[in-house]
Amino acid sequence: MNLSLQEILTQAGAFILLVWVLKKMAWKPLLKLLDERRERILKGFEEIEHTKQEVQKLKADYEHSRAHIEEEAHRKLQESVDEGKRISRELQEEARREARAVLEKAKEDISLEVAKAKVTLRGEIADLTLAATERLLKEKLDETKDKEIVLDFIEDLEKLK
Amino acid sequence: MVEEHMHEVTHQVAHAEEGLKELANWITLVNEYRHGSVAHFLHHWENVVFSLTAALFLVGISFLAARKKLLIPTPLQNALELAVESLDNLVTGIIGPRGRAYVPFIGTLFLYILIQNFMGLVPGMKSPTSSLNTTAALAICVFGYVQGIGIKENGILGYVDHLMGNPRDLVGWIMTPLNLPLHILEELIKPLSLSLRLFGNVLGEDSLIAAFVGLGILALSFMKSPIGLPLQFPFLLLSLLLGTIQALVFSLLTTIYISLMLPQEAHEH
Repeated sequence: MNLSLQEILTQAGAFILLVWVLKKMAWKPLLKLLDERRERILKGFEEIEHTKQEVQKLKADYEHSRAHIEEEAHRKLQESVDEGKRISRELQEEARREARAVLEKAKEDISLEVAKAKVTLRGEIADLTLAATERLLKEKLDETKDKEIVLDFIEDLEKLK
Repeated sequence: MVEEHMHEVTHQVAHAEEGLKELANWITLVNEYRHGSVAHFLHHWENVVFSLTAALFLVGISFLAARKKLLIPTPLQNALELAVESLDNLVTGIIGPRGRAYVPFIGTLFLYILIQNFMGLVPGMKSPTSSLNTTAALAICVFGYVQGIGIKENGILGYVDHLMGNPRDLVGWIMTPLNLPLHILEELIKPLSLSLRLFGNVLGEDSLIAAFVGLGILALSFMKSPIGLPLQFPFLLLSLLLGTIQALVFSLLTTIYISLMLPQEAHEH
């Protein structure tokens, strides 16, 4: 077989036509599609990275907030404890003061009662003395009788105590 | 001298083709059993018919694979995308990002040659690349494309400057009368070597397969078997490998020729 210029030109023409058709039909759209997909994948990866960073930031913020809240809670608890202690101390103080006041009042009442009793007693003693004297004067018959009278008087006094 | 050399090459090729027989294809059979103008026409344009079959096959596959352009591709689209991306990486890997513009040409060249090489393995078909007319046509297309790129990218003066070997000093200018014909000859030899390499390899493979098919038939002829021993089977596998390599070599060399033709600054990318 010899070289045929006709066949060579036909083959060359067919090939050029094929290149043109495939360029329009396959190469350009597929290369564009591949570029778009590559772009999309890259964008996806970038978004994932960005989201990761955001999650990290949120986590750090959360950790920070949690630490802050814990610290705040601890501080509030401590404040409450301190407040409780203070109130307790005040209550104790108040109770002690009131008890002291009650005691003082009781003491005063007792003193008053004692004084009152003393006055009453003095009156009664005076009455008794007068009565004893009166009885003595009425019944002054013998020494034994006097003695008995005095002893009765003393017994009466002891009873009065 | 070049003409004489070309004549000698053509003569040798014709001689080689006469000596080597390929397997019969469906056009051979049509021509054998139906003598008419259609059969004669088909036989005359046998390689063109098979080349067009390969081209139609490629167009059909491309149409089916690329018509929907889905983000999540179908298996066919996936396969074509794999081929497109691999060829894109191959070309841009050699030329750089500017190489993207040449991917359709080089990619089509690769796929077209690959399909044509494999066609010889299908019973009833023939590798059109086992004809020098086909490979010469492809090489001429490459030659025209590369020179066109050279003129477009460098300008006419830049292109001539490139052919003169980019003389920048006295020695360069003195060497110009030697460099210019050498570069022109080099540019002419490139398509010649491309076409002869592909043609020779594919013809050799197909002839080898045909020889072993004949041997297989001969081996069982004593018992009048309708089929022969499949002695050609290992060579079919070999043809798959060599067909791919030859398509790759043709495309790769085209890429390198384009790369060499581009301006120096584009090269350095």
